[in-house]
Amino acid sequence: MDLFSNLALGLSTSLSVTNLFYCFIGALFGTLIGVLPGLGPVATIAMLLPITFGLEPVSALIMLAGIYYGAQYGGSTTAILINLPGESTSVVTAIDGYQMARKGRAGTALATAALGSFFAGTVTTLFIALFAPPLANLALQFGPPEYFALMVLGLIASITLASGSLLKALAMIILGLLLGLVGRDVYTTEARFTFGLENLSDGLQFVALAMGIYGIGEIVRNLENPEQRSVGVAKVGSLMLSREDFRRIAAPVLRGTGLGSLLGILPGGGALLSSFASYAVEKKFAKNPKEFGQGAIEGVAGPESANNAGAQSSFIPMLTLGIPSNPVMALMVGALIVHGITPGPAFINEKPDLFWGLIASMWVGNLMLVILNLPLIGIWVRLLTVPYNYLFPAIVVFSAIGVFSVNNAGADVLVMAGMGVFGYLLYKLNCEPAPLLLGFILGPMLEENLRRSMLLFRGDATQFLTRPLTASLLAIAVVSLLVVLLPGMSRKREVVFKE
Amino acid sequence: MVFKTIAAACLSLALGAPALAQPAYPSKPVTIVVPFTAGGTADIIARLAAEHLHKKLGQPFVVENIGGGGGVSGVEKVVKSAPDGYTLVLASTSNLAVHPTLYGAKFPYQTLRDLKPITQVSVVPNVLVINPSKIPARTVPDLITYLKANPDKVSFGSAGVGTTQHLAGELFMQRTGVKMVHIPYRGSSAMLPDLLSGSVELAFDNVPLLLPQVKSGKLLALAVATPEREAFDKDMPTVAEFVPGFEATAWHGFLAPAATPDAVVEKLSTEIQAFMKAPETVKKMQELGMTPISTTPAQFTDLIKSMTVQWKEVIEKGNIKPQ
Repeated sequence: MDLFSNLALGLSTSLSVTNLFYCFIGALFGTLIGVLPGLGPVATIAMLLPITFGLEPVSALIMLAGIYYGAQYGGSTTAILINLPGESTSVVTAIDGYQMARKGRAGTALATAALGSFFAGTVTTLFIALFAPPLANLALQFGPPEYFALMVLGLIASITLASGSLLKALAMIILGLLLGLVGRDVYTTEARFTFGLENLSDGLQFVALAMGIYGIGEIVRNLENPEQRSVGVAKVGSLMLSREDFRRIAAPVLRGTGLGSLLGILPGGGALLSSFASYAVEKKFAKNPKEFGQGAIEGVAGPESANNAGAQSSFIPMLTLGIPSNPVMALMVGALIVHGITPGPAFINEKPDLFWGLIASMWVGNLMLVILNLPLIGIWVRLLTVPYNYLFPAIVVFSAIGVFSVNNAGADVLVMAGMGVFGYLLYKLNCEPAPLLLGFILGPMLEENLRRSMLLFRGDATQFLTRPLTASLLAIAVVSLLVVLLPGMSRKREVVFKE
Repeated sequence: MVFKTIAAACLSLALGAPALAQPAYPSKPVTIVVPFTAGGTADIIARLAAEHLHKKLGQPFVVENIGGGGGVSGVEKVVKSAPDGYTLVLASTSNLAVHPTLYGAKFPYQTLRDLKPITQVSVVPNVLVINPSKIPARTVPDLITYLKANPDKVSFGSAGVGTTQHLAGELFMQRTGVKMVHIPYRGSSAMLPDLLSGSVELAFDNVPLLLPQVKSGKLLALAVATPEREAFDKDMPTVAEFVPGFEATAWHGFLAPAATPDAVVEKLSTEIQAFMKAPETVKKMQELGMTPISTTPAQFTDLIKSMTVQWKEVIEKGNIKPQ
């Protein structure tokens, strides 16, 4: 009963004409900046933040939230169409989404992403409404040792991301871990692998890395063999999903939603991890895992649902505990503080209209996104019919602007250029970049939490095994590793992974 | 001779003419570099001040966020820009009084050699908080007794090595002789969950972040690390009441490249000071959890000097310096 009166309160707030308008503006802006490679929600929200100072807090929050999940959605559009994951969460989508586009199924892939995201958004809205307060405490169960164990599990699972040889996948993960080490060490402030360059002291920027390896690398290889340039005029194909497609995506969408809404609660990369986790899970469940990496629709549906669910449930720690779980949330806390509201444990009771209004607006926003994007799919896909010699300079320019805008740093653009060459090299060597990116993201968190745990344990490593949650996560990791390494299983793996 | 005089006159005309024709500062848009990503407290101050300066001085003041390297990249850019008053920086304690010492000789700037202070604008008070379910103490003297009885048992979290949050903890240990283990995080909000769950038991951190947690009873604030009691809670004692001379706050201020003309610096200082004293500004700053301050260039220079000395001592005594 409470739930319904709360949701009614929320809907009455979010359905006011003003708030609908800001929700729409947010979703539209979000989609647009998501589509522009590299210009992510953090930069956009930061730029729009001063505008929100003059708005009602609830309108401001609704608009910023709209930008956030709009961008999650828009980011997948470029990942699918031109192999350019503008957002860290759409890296996984690029793997199979782009392959689908090359096979003339770009429309289907985009529609799958839209519908999967909408479903996940709807379920997660209800999920937050029902369980936000108790779930918030789950986030507090995760101390440094638990994060460490979760990262170990994530890295082991990432091996399954590769569709080539196991050895190459391992090499890529380790290379990713090493790239993640660049920058000042958190514990000693010692500069590592920076070659004395102050620009590298914060580490390599993820957006520059991902866009270089995927986007720019892809351009280089397309220019090398113009005739192979796959996504072309004749191949736009059907825009909608067939009945068979719906059947295939149902389970992945459900699993992705579940994974995303749970992992999203964990501050620090939970939402991101969920898209990788979902991909790994789908590959395990798939009848025909060989298809993964070749344009499997499940590889789009699962991760896309997961990242949208994760993006939304990452609001839980912010709203219930006052803990911003990622940079976007930190900006939103900033926006609220300007209005004299500090999110914290008392937030739901003190500002029910704001809390429930935001939650209801998430659903409204997701609905708007679908309405906005399904018709747009046709336009996006037609973008591919633009001759490549016009399209690629535009992609390069927008990518450079996007990467530059994150920190106003020219060095980041150079990093992107360098990574473009590197990405091309990886392609030539038949190495999959996805495990590298996962290693890059997880590596620093793995190291940081391991060292933090050891400090907290005062050097006694056995304490990893005496904490139930840590021990269970590590046990699952060991079992997964054994499954990969056991001779019988590994022969089967070879069959699965070698083409 | 005549020729020489004419030549000299021409020369002086040539040199003098532009100076005479030069319109009063500012005659073109001014850039305020904020060496952090947008949305933080420094950024908000810069944007509010920019709006005011635009109105008062008739030229746009553009805020440019240059994050990276804990603020080093942004400050470095200002240090290297032309000293004409068209590039300013809004920097914090760490940028000005800690980093040049912490990162040693190869660091790209020395604050008072390369920059000219304009005015301090804010103090962001740090509060000493504990997780009350982990530490039985309820007052600062109790805490000191508890920590002395349990050396190295308590962990204190911070927003990172060299932040005021970290140095506050080091200063507290050095002045009271207690021993704790420092656990650095990437920023305060990464530390907060571990403080709430009790993985780390104690921290010095900013008021806006901690106040809601303190109100809900999850954390207990024992004292504030400013020299005087603060407006947000006059009942809360200062750490200095128990540990004489204890001061560990974050602050922000405007600076320009070192060779910027004094007249320009004075003009900016006067305008920004007036803005910081305006009632709306005071109200807004307090909402943000900061105390608005306005000081002359000389006073701000003294603050940077004295704090550089204090933190240098803490860094050297605590052996915090890398290498």
